[in-house]
Amino acid sequence: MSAPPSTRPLHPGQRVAVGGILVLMTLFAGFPLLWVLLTSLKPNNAILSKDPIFLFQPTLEHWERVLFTSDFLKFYLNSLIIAAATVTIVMVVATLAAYALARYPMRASKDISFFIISQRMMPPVAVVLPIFLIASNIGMLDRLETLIAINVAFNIPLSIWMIRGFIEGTSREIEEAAVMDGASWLGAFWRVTVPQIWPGLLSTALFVYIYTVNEFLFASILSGTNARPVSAAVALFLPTGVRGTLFGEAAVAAILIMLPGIIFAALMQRHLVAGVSLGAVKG
Amino acid sequence: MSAISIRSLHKTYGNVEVLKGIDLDVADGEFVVFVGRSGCGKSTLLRCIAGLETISDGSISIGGAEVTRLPPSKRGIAMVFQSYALYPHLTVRDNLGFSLGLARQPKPQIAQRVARVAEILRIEDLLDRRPVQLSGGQRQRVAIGRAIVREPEAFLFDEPLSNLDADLRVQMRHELMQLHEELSATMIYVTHDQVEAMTMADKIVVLNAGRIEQVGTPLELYSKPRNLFVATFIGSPRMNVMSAAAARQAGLAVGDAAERIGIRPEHIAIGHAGSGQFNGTVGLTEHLGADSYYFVELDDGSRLNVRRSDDVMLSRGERVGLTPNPGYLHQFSADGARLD
Ligand SMILES: Nc1ncnc2c1ncn2[C@@H]1O[C@H](COP(=O)(O)OP(=O)(O)O)[C@@H](O)[C@H]1O
Ligand SMILES: [Mg+2]
Repeated sequence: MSAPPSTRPLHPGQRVAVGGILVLMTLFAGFPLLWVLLTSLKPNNAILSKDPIFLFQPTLEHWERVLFTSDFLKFYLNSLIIAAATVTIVMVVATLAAYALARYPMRASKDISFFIISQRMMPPVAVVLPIFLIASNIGMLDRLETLIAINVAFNIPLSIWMIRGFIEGTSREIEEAAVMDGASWLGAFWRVTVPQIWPGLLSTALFVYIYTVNEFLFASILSGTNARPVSAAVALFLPTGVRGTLFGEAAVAAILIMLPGIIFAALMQRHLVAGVSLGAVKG
Repeated sequence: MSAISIRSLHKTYGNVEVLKGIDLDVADGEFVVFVGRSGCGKSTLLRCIAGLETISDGSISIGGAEVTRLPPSKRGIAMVFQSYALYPHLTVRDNLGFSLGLARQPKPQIAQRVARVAEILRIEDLLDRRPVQLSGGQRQRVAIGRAIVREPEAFLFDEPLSNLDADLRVQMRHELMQLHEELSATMIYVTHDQVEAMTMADKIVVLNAGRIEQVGTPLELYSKPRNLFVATFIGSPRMNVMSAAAARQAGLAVGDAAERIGIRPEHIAIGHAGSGQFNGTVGLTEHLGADSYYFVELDDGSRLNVRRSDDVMLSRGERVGLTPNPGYLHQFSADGARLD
């Protein structure tokens, strides 16, 4: 059990330094977001201006175009469906698999764990062609199910690995106490261990979500006009034709793509209260 | 009725046999202590009774019903773990009410039973805290409360006091014994501390390397240990053991079959040199206040620990004579079995 973090007060000088660094880091991380937001509201002449412009007459024309006259919402919905299904399936399967690996050690546990993580060592590009051919032969091209299956397959290994670590950080004896109290083994895991590793599970889910939303390679190769998710479709907004690059529309798309992840992370923050499991066992 | 009986129980992990045929009967309402050195299989035996471990062979029944294949929740017993194993994300109140909630008891009834248990254990003030906000002793109380709230047939305790300070340990020991009287439930208590075993038990089970060495009341184990292991394990400080040959030479009445002789420190009188059967020199001494223990180096090179309870102090290097009380000699055969 690690010691609680020190709460020694800082010198005034240290406070200023720490505060300054935090402000710089916030600006560094936040500025691109601000710029994207401004860009989405700028008229085209302001976007294309050589000088950075902060004051302009805001316009919703890019938002209108993206939301109402383009196919963006269809792609967006595809992305959300793929991501939601992937996160749900991965979390259920990986949590149960991790539980088995963590709580029922058997002779082959190490080998199984290594096999699982080794799936992650293969670069996706190595299997693109075979998967394309298989999907094509069984008539599964341009379908959401195919992309969900691919994303599940690519996210399960690392998720099992992460969740197993979280479970092993909790006490088995607490689950046994719940079993003595009348729970089944899986019930004890659900009622007693899952609440303790909740923050870890949420961050794993966030990883899976981000990976899935960003997944580009399979999205572009396995989907056509029907099942195309936003990651592969956003290129549609950046044509370099006569009208030039549609930066405003791209900015709107970027904001909408980021939105669920940001909301998810903001909700999760509440659960990241460290140390819930401290003091459960031992004196 | 919650008598527990165990028949030829074997437990193996891989190819290591941890329990090598345990036969044991625990009567209804009895307080039984499993005692033995660390690693002898006490926890494993307790966990087999609880149902947390599947057994390799044999059978277990509780209250006359065979439970060998039943899951823990169907055995009607509660367990208190050495680590307390409280639910870290729940308040003390919810820790105590957890089992009743699983059993779908109505909320008012849960609240009522939790309140009663909190009163018995004097933890009413702690009900809204989480385990992390409790001291070791308070956690221990909550762990015990969580066990008694269900009113189980039997209680299993796995070294419940070993994480507490010495003071608190004695206090909790008394409270547990009182609890046993009030609930009159069957209790099995595991410890490696033979003082705890001697003071708490109706019946002690001495375990060694996966086998039962002896079952008996504390007094039986003390006065009639069945073999050399029990003889030297029970009693503090431990029994002196010498060769039967040396004892015969000193003129003690020792049977022909005896190989080893045991005599407890409190059963040897100490006097002037030449006054007893053994002569020696006082070596290390331990003064405990009421009693003093003298390690006397005998002239043949062996050593006897002797208790003296009067105010006379002996100093190191003093010559003394020792007289074992013939009524308290324990004789053992070559394989360590008691001869009577
Ligand atoms: N899950 C397990 N796998 C393998 N060996 C075990 C396991 N649990 C206990 N053992 C072994 O069984 C023996 C008895 O353990 P235990 O019952 O915990 O002893 P005690 O409680 O008397 O100290 C020990 O040698 C221990 O190493
Ligand atoms: Mg143990």
